[in-house]
Amino acid sequence: MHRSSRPYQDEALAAWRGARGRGVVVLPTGAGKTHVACLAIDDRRRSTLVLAPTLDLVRQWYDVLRATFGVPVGVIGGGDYGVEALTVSTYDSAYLHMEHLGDRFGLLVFDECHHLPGPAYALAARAAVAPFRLGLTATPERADGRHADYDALCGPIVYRKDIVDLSGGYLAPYETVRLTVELGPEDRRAHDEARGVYRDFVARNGIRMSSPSGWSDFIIRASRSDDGRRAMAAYQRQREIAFAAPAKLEYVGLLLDRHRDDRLLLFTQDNATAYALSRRFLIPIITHETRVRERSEILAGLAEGSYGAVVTSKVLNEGVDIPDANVAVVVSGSASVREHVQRLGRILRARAGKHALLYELVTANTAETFTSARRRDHSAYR
Amino acid sequence: MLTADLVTARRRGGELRLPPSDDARRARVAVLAAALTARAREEIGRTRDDVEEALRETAAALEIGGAAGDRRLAAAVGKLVRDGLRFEEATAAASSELRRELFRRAAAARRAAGALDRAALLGALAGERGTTPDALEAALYADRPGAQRLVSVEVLAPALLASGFEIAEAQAVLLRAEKIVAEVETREARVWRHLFRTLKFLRLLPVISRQREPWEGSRALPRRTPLGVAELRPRDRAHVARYRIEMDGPLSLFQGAGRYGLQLALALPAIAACDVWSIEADVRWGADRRPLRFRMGGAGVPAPARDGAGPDHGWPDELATFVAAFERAETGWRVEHEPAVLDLPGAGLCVPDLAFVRARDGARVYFELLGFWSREAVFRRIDLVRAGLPEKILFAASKSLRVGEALLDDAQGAALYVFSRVLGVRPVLEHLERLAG
Repeated sequence: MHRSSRPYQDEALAAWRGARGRGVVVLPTGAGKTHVACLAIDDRRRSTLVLAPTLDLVRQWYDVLRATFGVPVGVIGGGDYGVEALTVSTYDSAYLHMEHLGDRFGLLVFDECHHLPGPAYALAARAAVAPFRLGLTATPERADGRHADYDALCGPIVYRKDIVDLSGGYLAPYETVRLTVELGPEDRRAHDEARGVYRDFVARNGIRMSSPSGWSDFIIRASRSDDGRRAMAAYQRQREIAFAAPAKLEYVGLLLDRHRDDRLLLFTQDNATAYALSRRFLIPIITHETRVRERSEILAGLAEGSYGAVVTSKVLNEGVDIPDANVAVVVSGSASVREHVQRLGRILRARAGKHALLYELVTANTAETFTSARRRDHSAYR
Repeated sequence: MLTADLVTARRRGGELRLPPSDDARRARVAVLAAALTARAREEIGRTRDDVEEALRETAAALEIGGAAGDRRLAAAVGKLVRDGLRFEEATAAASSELRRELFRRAAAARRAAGALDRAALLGALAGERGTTPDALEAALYADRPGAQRLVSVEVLAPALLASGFEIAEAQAVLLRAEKIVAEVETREARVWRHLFRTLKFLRLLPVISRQREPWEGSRALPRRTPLGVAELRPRDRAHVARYRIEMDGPLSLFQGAGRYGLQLALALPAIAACDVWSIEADVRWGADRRPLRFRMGGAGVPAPARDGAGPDHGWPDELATFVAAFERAETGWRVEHEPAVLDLPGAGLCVPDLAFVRARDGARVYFELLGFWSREAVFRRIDLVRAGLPEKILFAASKSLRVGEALLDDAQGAALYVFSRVLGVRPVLEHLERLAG
């Protein structure tokens, strides 16, 4: 370990150590969570298993651990099964093999540990005997409230810095801009009509969409009658109109022109809108269907400047390192605070002279207004 | 092939149970299969996205009023129907190259001119390539799975799909198995020979033992007829053979669990083709991977031929290649393609792939190519040798199993050949000569 640490990384290590080597460190994307893990590994000097949610992240961890410690690093997942004193695995593979792996490691590092409280991954954590555990995330809160399980699975939150704490210093300074667009008269009519059908069905069936079971109640009722199927189709139609309002797409064109010398990431809620944007503005797209080779070529093209923008639905929300991106455009998204913070995080890695800018396009007088308000409920957007 | 999430299985105590496969359920499956297959046939020539939409629509219409179990049943039948849809091959390289070229030019044009003239850009590139802008637009995402066109529908007839549905569900359960023990009983030598060859072809490396005592229930051993199941005639009982087959489950392996699981599932129709059969599997089920016991059995369940029960399997590719090379070479040995099964009472059964016979003196050496899933299975073969297998035998194991030839150095009449990528004629010949003496 030769790389010098930033003060908050040392503080995070000290806090984790103070908690007897069990706990969650919360740092924003781009703040160097991986380095904190390397400090912890160096500090404990125990066999270590790093768990990450995707193969992309496994590859990134493999490179970092090899370069940092100069020892063989094992990989489990994506067809590989190699166990070394330092090993990286996907959560899925670790879950499958934990019976064989559970007693072989003294330290577990859970990257993007907000995935950990899911039933399967939690089981993997419970099946391991490692006394030392480090969770890393930028967004510890879960909508289902299961962040309370961190204590049992890897320890409590022992250190936390949010985007606002590090912005302008260790993270690029940033600005968020919310742009409201109007539907044209025809789209407005179609939207309101579809929304009326959906709302009418919900009201007639006494479904409370604000209750925790509201959505599943709606799905179950909707599947039982022609009326219900029409309501479901109407629900989807009004969302499609709001997500891909023509005025939004016009605005995307203006932003692409205005930021033609920047590096843009465009985020959508669905693949259909992402493909529509790619086709209309002739910009590369990354979805779950994109082959690995093309995906690497697109990201390299964005870094070197042969592409000015990339559109994606959800696959770049988390984890993947895109240091050159400085403008994000959220064309559409869910109500998830975590997703919105992670999308902002994609453009915050510090670079000399970099000023990051996040645009959020919202269609006025649709459910999207409410969705937007919910996902902005985070200190980074205040 | 179904996946575990499409199976309507229930926990009862320590057991995992499938719903009883009664006439009503089979009829429901057949109705769903017929409707979905017919709709798919109407969609030939359309894109995968269109076909998906059409199938979703049809399934939704059939599900109305149904409970959650019905929706899962519809999804499961939909999966089996989708497995039989054949789409045109994607032209990934051409589309990917077009995107790269077009998007790079667009980025450069936007940077240079401050705005993009889309039509001009497409027109220029189309001109250079001797095509039209519309053709470029059509080719831009032609490699997306959703853009592929349906060319044929090769789905089993609804009645056949319905009759094999229980086996399809059991196959999905076995994907979550740690250990499987099957017992099969049949009076027809060709049935168990087919079963053994299937297990060999799938490289499952089972431990097989012949059971000396007949089952309690074997007095009622049925005989399959074109019209159904009939009692076995007393004179046929003398020819009944009964075998116990133990196999590792996918969840007991360190690697390749997905592929192995698929192979294991493909063995089930061959097991179910026996006159009387049962399986008992230790499975891990649900998100919490709770250990449960799964049991199933029957009498000559007709299984869909497409899933591996029907035509005789040949050898695995690596073995066929080796045999062809061996027979081309001047070796002084002849290859027997269907050697006898070696039975060592009390220790187990060995099903060699080949027997080699030396021309000059008739010396015979059996040969078995071991699978590449589990080292444990190799050690079981070694135990068989040490228990006193009387015939001379050469085992071949892949280097990836991390076993050494020294394991059988002290054995009389047996040897282990570890190969790295392909079976070599010369090393096999050397082993044969040494064993034959």
